[in-house]
This record gives sequence, C-alpha cells and structure tokens, in this order.
Amino acid sequence: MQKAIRIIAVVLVLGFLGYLIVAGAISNEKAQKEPWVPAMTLGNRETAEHVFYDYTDIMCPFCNKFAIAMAVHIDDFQKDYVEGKKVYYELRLTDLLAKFHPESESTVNNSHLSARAGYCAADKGKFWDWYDWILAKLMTDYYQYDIGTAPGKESIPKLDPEYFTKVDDMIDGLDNEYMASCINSDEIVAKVNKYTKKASSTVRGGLPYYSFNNQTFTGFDGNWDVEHDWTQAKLMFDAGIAGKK
Amino acid sequence: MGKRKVNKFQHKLKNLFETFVDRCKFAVVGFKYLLTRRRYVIALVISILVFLYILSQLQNNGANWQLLWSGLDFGSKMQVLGRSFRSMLDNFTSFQGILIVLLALMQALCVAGIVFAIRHRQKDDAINGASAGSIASILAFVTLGCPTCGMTLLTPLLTMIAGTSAVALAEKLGIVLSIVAFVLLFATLVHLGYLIFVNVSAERAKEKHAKSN
Repeated sequence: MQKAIRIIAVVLVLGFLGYLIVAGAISNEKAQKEPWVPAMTLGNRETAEHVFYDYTDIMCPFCNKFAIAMAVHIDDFQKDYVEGKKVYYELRLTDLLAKFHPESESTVNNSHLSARAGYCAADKGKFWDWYDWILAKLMTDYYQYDIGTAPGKESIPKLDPEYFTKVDDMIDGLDNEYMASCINSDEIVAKVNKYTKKASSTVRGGLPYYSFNNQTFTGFDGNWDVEHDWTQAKLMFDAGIAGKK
Repeated sequence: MGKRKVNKFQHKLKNLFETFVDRCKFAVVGFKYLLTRRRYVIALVISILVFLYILSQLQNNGANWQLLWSGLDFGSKMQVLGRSFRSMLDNFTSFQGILIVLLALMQALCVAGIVFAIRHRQKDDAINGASAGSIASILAFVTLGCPTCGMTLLTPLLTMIAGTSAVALAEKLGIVLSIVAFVLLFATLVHLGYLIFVNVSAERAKEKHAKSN
C-alpha cells in the first residue's frame, strides 16, 4: 500500500512537471496576426513595431480588472504605448465563458448577449464607447458590491438583452432600436461563433489571455484597484516589448 | 449471527475512531512541543511564506511567474515579486484566501514534521509523510485559480480530453480534489504529530531515567 502511494506520488509529480513543460511550450506559440474587427483595435497595424492581442469575454471578472484599468488610463496607453512605442493593440472579443460553463444558464446567456452586443457596436464603429459604457455599468451594478468578482462570490444573475443594448442617449451613433434588432440577428450570432471558434484554437488555460509580441500571459493579477491593476498591465506591456528585443 | 457480525463491526469501527481521536490529541501535543523549539518555528514560518506565495500565484494561473521569466529588467522583476506578496494580502478576505492560508499552514506543519522525522532517523515515516504531503500539494495546486474564467491548472488538462465544456467539470472536480487534499494533509499531520509525541516522550523518559541513575 505504502509502495503504491509512493509510486502514485512520483507519477503525479512527474505528470505535473510534464504538464508545466507542455503548457509553457504551447503558450509560446505565436498568436494569429490577422486583425479580426478593425473597430476593436488601437494603433496602426501597418507601421506597428509591437503587436498586442487581448482575448476576452465581457463577463470574465479577471479580464475586466485589466479592461477597467485600461479604460481609466486609455490616454496614458495611447500616449506611452500606441504613439510612444508604436504598439498595435487588438481586442478579440469572445463568448468563451458560455463554452466553459454550458451548465450555467446565467453565464451562457450573459456571455452570448454581451459578445453579440459588442460586435453590434463594432459594426457601427462604436465599440470602444460601448465597451467603456458596459464596463462602467457592470462596475456600478455588480462589481462594486463584490458580485461576480471572483470564484466563490455571488454570481451576476441572468441579464435581459436590454442590459447590453439599452444605451439610451449615452453613445453617439448608437441607438436602442438598432442594438435591440442587431443582437438577435443571424449575422451577429454567426460572427460571434466564428471568432470564438478562432479564439479557442489560440487560448490555452482560460481567460484572460494576452499575446504581447511573442510573450503570452494567461490570467491577470489584479485586485480591482485601478492604479494597482494599471501598474500590473504596464509590467505586462513592458515584458511584451522587452521580449521582442 | 448476522446481528452479532454487525455489532462486532460497529465495535471495531468505534475502536478505530477512538484510536484516531486519541492519536489526534497526541499529535496536537506533539506539534505543540515542536513549536517550542526555535529552529522548527523558523522552518514553519519560512514554509508558510513559501507555500502562501506559490498558492497565491496559482490563483492567477501564475501570471506573475510569466512576468518573472519575461525579458523585463531586474528592477521590474523585483517589483513583480514585491507586488506578488502584496496581492497575497489582498486575497485573504475571500473564501479562497482563507482556504489558501489553511492549506499553507497545514503544508508548513507537514514540512516541519518531516524535518523532525528525518532528524530523528524515522526515514520511513518521513518518506510516507513527504509522499502524502506532495500528493496533497499537487492536488491543491492544480485546483486553484479562477474556474469561472476556465483558469485553473486542472482546466487545460481536462480540456485536452473533453473540450472547452470540461471547465465546468474542472470546477466540480476541483472541489472534490481540494477535499481529498485536505483529508490527506490532515491524516499526514496526525501521523507526523503522533510520531513527534512518541519520540519526545521517549526522549523525556530516557532523560528522567538517566537523571535518576
């Protein structure tokens, strides 16, 4: 019995080490370089010296710590990285959380709807405005009350489509009628499915997944403090830039 | 006949339970004694910090480890290390944070117990303790992370076999494996604590005998 336990322990240790090696090798693979949706990018792909990809799901809390810090410091990012270091940044929106949790009705619903609404806004060239709006809304309605912020915490309930589409007059160029009809269109559903399928072949180990030049990151060590999270994001950008040299 | 067998089984079970409870009590006395010795306290504190660091990092799927292995300069890497310790403190208020502290404490006690066993030439007990402890560590390590985001070390292993929907399975399996890890660690601690108690009692008896002679 004791011998069996020892053998199992050795096998588990070796298996764990093997996994780390394989996962490391996989994470070094280059992300796809073709832009998905021009409205979800920052900077110029043609003249860029550094190419950053950010794979996300709007209902993923770890992704949103990063996204909120970015949204607050977007001017700094534009000045220091897009203009200063010629960074091309592309957000690749998915509904991967729905694939991860098919058993959770609220996760599937919210993940599908948020991704569709994001692509609807992008079709009108208003993605970044809509993204800032929905992140602020999630923060005001849920994250600030510690809802949906981490595993083990109270989950965000099943949301109506209007939660993602009723922009009222908050965003120029987007209206409730367009968003409400767009979110259920076959074209948008097909688009979200297509890009999520593409992301599935690149994303390893869950979301968020970042590919900054050849440096990849899975996860984000944030704590919902915008300044802390922005510093963490900058360290990741700098690591991506340093890795190319 | 059947009733007698059942009674015998119940009696045996009761005896086993009572023996285990006694062992637990002796183990507590054993560890209490161990923690009166400075070198073991230092080993315990260092082990707690190491385990806390590793377990906290795994919560974010080792995002900071990726930074430490990146092309960042030395100063930035030191900043990453410092921030990692800070984020450890931030996470302690959550359920997972409490789980991590408990796991780190149990792992560290296990290390201190193994060191004691090695120093007292109880090689087999040390190996058994280390084996059970390492299984528990791996179980604990692979189940940490953010299951909501599909981000635990267990997830990619399962997704290779069962596709992206395996994230849900990883979440459920993670809970089971965490419980197994706790049970294993607890059993190891009881075993090591009892060993410490027996050794210390024997040492004291020897000293007493030597003095009386």
